[in-house]
Amino acid sequence: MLESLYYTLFAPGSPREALPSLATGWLTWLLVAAVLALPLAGTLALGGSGTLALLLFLWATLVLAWFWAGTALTAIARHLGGQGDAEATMGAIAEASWPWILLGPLAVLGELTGPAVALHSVAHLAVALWVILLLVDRVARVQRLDRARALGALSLLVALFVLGGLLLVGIPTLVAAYWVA
Amino acid sequence: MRLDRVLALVLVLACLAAAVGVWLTGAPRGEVVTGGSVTGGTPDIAVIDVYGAIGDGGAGSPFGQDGANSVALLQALRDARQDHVKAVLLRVNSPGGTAAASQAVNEAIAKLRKETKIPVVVSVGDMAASGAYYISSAADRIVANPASMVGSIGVIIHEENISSLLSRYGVSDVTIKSGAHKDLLSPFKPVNPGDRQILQALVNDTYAQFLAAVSTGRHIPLATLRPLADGRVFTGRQALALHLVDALGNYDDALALTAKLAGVKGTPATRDYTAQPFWQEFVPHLGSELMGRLGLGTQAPGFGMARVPLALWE
Repeated sequence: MLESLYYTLFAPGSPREALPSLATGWLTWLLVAAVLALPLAGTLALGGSGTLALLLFLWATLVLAWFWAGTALTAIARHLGGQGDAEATMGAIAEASWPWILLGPLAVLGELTGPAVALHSVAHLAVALWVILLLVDRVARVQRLDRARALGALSLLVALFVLGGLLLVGIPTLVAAYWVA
Repeated sequence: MRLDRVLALVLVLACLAAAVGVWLTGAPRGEVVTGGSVTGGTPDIAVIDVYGAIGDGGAGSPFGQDGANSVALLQALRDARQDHVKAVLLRVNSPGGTAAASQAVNEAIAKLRKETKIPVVVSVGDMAASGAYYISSAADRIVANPASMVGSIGVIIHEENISSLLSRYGVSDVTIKSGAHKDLLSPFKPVNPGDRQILQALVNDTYAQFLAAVSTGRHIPLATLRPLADGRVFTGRQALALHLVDALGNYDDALALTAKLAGVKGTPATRDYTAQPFWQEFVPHLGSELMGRLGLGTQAPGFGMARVPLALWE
């Protein structure tokens, strides 16, 4: 896991033989959930049990999303000529998500600078962009696609996610709001 | 251990430590706002809301207290003091609440003013009645709208007695008690003269404390205040003539006055010290709404408050 973190963040271009493993993924999401949950728990003034519940909830949500994204991305990549399996794709997604742990120090930056400073927002945007670039690279590697197709596969995945969200949540909400009004 | 793993471990620990640090520093207070825009920096004026029925933090319904929590108000005052604000502005819109909780906040404001010389101004919204006026009377200045309801200086204890209803249907109450007055306010038995005397003494003593606090805070002699303190409410305009408030105006006027007293030039930077995470406001409100619709009546200050002296305008 530590090796995966080091090479992802400090030497992303280094050739490595070992593909990312699923076990790394579980731990990655636990750490990401921790750096997301703790500052949020502080903002919400949650106690110990509330923080733990939030952490577990976030972890479960991230893991579920990871499973969904891994299988959906594999299916999409296959249609674009990809040759990797779902396990490898999930490992790639987890590894590409390592930069999210930098949200911990970024939360401190936010506390110090306050909401009016753009630096905090720019830093978050930079992390998001970094994750996207890593995702494209890792997915291209495990699916043996060129980066353009890997980016296309990721774009289709996001579109699918948005469509799913609209169908499952957005439209029923609009219908309910219409009837209530 | 290899260097790459050491570096990775250090990074993980640093990120976790940062997240834990942010968690431990707790809920940020409201943002600092100047003239309606979020500006950051140090606030000049602490804004503290006193909305709804006033009670002690632990005395609410199982869903939490939907109203002004005296424990939270005291904490807000402490936080404002710790932040070295130049003034405190209380936004009050409350019919009152329990006498004890109102007294606690009154004394906290008086202590803040005495120990720090931080000016405290009250801006009255719809009403600052009874316990809310108890709190307000400790401030340097009270600003009310001409049509605000102010006053209702008085104390009340009430209970619905259904003993005659029960006896009509042949239902009798069986109570085993250790002392004659243990079931003082039992709704199942008629109130006897002895009980009534005790309860009246409670009310009288609480009222005397309330009156003394208002007299001290408003610099009105007791003899002058007593005729006004029979429980009646006044409009803001009436209250001004009686020196129960200091000025007529809305929140903006109160804010300008607060800035003036604090010596702040230009638009003051304010911070809301009663801002709470949404779930701490939403859940108690939802809970008391639900209980009210089920007829369990927590519209008065919380469960379990019915048998304490109330400084509440009804």
